[in-house]
Amino acid sequence: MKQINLTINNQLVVAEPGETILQAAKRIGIAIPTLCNREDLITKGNCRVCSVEVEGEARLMAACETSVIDGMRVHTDSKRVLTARKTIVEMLLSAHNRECTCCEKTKACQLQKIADDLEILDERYPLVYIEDFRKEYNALLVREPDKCIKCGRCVDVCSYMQYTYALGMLGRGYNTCADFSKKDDIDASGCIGCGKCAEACPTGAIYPNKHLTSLWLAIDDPNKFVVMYMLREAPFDLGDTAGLKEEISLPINKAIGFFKDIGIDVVLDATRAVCLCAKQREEEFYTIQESDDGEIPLLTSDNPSVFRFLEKHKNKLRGQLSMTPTPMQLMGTYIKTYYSQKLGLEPENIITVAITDDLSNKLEVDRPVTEKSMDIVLFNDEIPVLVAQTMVDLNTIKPKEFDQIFMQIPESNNKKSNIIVFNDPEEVCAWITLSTEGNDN
Amino acid sequence: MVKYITKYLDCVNPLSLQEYMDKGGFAGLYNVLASQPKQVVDIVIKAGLTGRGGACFPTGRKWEAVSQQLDSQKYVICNADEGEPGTFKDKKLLQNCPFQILEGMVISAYAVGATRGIIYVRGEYSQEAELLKEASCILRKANLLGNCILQTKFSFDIEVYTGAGAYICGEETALLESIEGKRGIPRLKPPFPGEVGLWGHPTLINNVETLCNVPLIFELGAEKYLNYGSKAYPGTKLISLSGAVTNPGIYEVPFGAPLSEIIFSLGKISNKEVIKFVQLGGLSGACFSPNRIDEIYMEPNLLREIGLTLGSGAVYVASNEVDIKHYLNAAMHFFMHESCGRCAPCREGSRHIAAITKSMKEGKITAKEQADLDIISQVMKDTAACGLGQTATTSLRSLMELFSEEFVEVVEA
Repeated sequence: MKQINLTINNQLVVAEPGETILQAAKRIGIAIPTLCNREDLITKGNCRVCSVEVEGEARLMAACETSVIDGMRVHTDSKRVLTARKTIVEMLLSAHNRECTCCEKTKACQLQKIADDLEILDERYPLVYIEDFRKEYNALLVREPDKCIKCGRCVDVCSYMQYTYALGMLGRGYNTCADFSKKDDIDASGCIGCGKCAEACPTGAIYPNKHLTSLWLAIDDPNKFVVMYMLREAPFDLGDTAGLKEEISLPINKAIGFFKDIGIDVVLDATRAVCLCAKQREEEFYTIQESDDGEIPLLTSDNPSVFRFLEKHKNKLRGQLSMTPTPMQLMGTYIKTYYSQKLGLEPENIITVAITDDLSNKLEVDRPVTEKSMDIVLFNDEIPVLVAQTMVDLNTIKPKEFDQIFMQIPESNNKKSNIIVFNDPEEVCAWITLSTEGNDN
Repeated sequence: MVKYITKYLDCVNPLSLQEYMDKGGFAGLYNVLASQPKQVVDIVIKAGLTGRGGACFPTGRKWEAVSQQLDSQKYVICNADEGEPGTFKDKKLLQNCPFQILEGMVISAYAVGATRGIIYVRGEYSQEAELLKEASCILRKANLLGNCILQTKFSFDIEVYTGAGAYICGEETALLESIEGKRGIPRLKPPFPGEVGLWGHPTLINNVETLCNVPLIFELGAEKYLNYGSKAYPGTKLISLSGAVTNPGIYEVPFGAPLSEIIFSLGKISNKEVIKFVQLGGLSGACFSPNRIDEIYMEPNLLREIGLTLGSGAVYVASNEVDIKHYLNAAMHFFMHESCGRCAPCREGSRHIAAITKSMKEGKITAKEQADLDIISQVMKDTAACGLGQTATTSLRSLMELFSEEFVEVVEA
């Protein structure tokens, strides 16, 4: 295809047809700031922070939605562009609760970063955010609508990536705010607790609930036996929380040493739970197949939010849903039953702490599938905070190994099974489309 | 004043098909159905018909683009969401000549190959919506709408859809969102509705007045249409004249008519002294001094040269008694209220501007606030995502320039 030549800040750029100014600029190292754009989401052009000057155009153009044209001359740093960018960010800040020092998202907030980059030091426009509001919905989500900048990212991931339509834009004009489709009622909405909205939010308007306080309470309680488990081989990324300039990471063996140092009694490797889970699903499948009671293929997922998606949004498939929990849930159950007997402890005196890279596990604390198996769920992002809270010198930590746990895994009988493991709602929808097309033929 | 598209305005009974046909109605449709769709599009291009909603885009080009799409499902939509303050021409047409609008839609559907039509009527025009529903029933019975129109192979039917009162839904892509049952917020363009429109199908969207021109072009011929107006903009335009004139109302004038004729001869006022300013194109248009009336002609190109727009054809004449600060405050609150909330500059900017014009109305603003007005209005014009935000501050900027001495008074030293 024909290539497109344009200049950005007088620098010659060769671009592909269909590329936007934002993408072309990024390739040559010019990072045009934006608040609403994310590469894997549809372009909306909501924040207009990426507005740039294109010679020959009367108005400024949003770089995220303007395709490159041959011979285009773009300026991203003219006085007009900078004034517009600064004014827009200042106005966004005027509708934003600027309590940065007590905000969960501080240092990770994109609005804060842009404001810093533009050297916005004063409150140029009078503050007019609606009300100071913080609501903890469940073990997964906390929402503070007074920090919402109406970029629409959470709504997009919820609707077009997760197919749940639980979040939407409510209200009009300056009363617009991202909210659950049944105003403020998370359970009545289609929320499946995947946590993608919290990951997508550029500010602190919706964020994951941290479980660190409960962790410290459990550690401090002499009657509680704290068992931690994780599916992990890679080191923890600590960012620059340890006060160091460069990004650092915590190797897994050092991490185990650190967890033991702060008072965790046992640290287990959950990898074997994955095998156990697979075997249990097979067993379940054979039972269904032999009894002719139930539908196949058996549908399942390692992600609890996909289970909730199937339950809440794909009611017709409920009969095919596997009863076997996810590996993380299975591990928790294993600790609370078999392991507690082995230790001679009551299950309620054992606190399970799961470390996961999937936010959807957090909701298990509130909504267990069977009996309560997961007490505390830590997201990877919480580990740097935990390290910072203890103020330990990471150099002094002695590396340790995972504690050993006996886990009997049934023998495979090598029969063919028909189990479908979904990773996300998109796969569910794709599978449904495929299977209905098959029926038509 | 001329009588071209207003030919049917004095029908005694708007729902009498006989009366409409006696005056020449549906003669155009008969001519159209006897020719090929491509010829129909070519005639509209030849006539040089332009959109009357405000953008003045060549209608024939729009039709051509939709007709070339290969999709089996296409839509035509009549934009009757007339919401611009000071504009009331479509209301008159909807009340008096529903058949003319429907005939225009049938012709456009034949030309582009659409099978379904929707009239999106402003929420406040509930009576007009009922009238259109009745009119389409009558046409269905007369085989002028529905399956196999006039025993040809061409089938087309129309539904009437009512808006819920949002100004922004007059913007064509927000209108599509509204019909689809979503929030009325503008879509990204491109793709334009002609390629990806309603439910993802190619969609032709025309204003009520534009469609009213269509039957006449085919009844009387393109040559007759070309007799009116200028070379670049042939035809006539309906003007909604309001404000401090003795005879406010709807007037049909050829493009290029002098503004002085509209205000003085048709509006029946004798001197300029009673006029404080004139606003052209509705509330989102620019204001100018009465001294300039004589140099203004209602022709889009001429107006563009002097920084004005014809827009929907609204002419508001403000009397000397109008308090600029009150006027601006009302205008800016209107845009704050109607901002859809999608893009940041319009959503936040319109609110800050309305807050400042409110303190201005109440007496005093600070020098910083005056500077803010300048900056925000410029940023909104530069960066807002759609026409609403881009033009919301036009009146503010033009009036601040025109009456700078009045604004100096309210600024605290």
